[in-house]
Amino acid sequence: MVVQGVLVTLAFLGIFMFPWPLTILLIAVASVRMPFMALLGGVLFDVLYFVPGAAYLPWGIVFGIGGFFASLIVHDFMKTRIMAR
Amino acid sequence: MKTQFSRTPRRARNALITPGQGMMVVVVVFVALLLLILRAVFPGVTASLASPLWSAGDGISNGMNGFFAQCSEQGNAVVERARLVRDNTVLTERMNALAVANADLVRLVGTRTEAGVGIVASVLARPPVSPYDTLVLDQGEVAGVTKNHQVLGPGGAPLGTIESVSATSARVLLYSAPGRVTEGWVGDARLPITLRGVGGGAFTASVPRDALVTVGQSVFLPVAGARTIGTIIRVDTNPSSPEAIVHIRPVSNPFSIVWVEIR
Repeated sequence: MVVQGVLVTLAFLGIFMFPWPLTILLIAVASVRMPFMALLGGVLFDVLYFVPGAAYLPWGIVFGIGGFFASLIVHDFMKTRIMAR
Repeated sequence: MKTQFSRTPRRARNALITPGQGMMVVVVVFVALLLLILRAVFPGVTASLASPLWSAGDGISNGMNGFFAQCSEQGNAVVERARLVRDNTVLTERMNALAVANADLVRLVGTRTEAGVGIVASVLARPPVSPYDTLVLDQGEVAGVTKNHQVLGPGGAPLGTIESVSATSARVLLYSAPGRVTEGWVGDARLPITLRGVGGGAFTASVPRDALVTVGQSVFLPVAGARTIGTIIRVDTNPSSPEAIVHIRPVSNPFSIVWVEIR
């Protein structure tokens, strides 16, 4: 639980302070246990930094939605594995 | 021996999203929509809320750089060298800009234009924190910033244009944003060139293979006369192609810009 809290805090702060590849790594790790982190992180990236013309699509939201569903599947898989033991 | 069976229906157990998670999804989607609406309706609010965190991040980053520099034996020398390199870049850029302006004035004897007064703004967020090659500035409409204003870096090097502005903040799209196309010139002969941003301040461009484009030549943008945006660091040629690919390094490193001028 503490590790999760630290990961979420670091991922959140990373959006404002860390290089974005590191932040995405932190969000990916945090979203394995908390899938909503991917979506929130992606939306926050675009809310803060996206401007029209910067990219064809707001990739933060696109990857956030993709990451959210991917991490839901991973999360469910992990839960099933733990129950099977 | 009694066997214990779970009372949870199989469908609920095998569901991808449990009711609790479903509720969480609804809440998260609601928060995400709220953030997007907030950005669309009040673009300055998000920047205002985030600016203390950006400032704290800058402070921590600078503090750590200073700490690690002082920890090493040659810390002071390294810091001094970095300062001198920065100063040298600024002075070189200023000299290039003056040389170009002088050449223009010599060609246009009798005519001259006064440079307008710019607005100085502090950079709140820059690459690599910002993933889109954008800068967030701490000046907005209150200070007179409007959309499409030019943003100049140290020494007057063109950086980008204002793409989104609120009362107290503005977002800059750098010329080097991936895929952004900008018209410019290269060399003293002012060969027209189309620059394509590749991110991180860098550019590429295609020129005819027999054009006299060489490593070390300056690349200019038609901003406030002509300003140097970068220097050619590599020219890739292919015998089977009539064009050469030019790689351009920026004069101002967007990763370390602290102050900018808006015009």
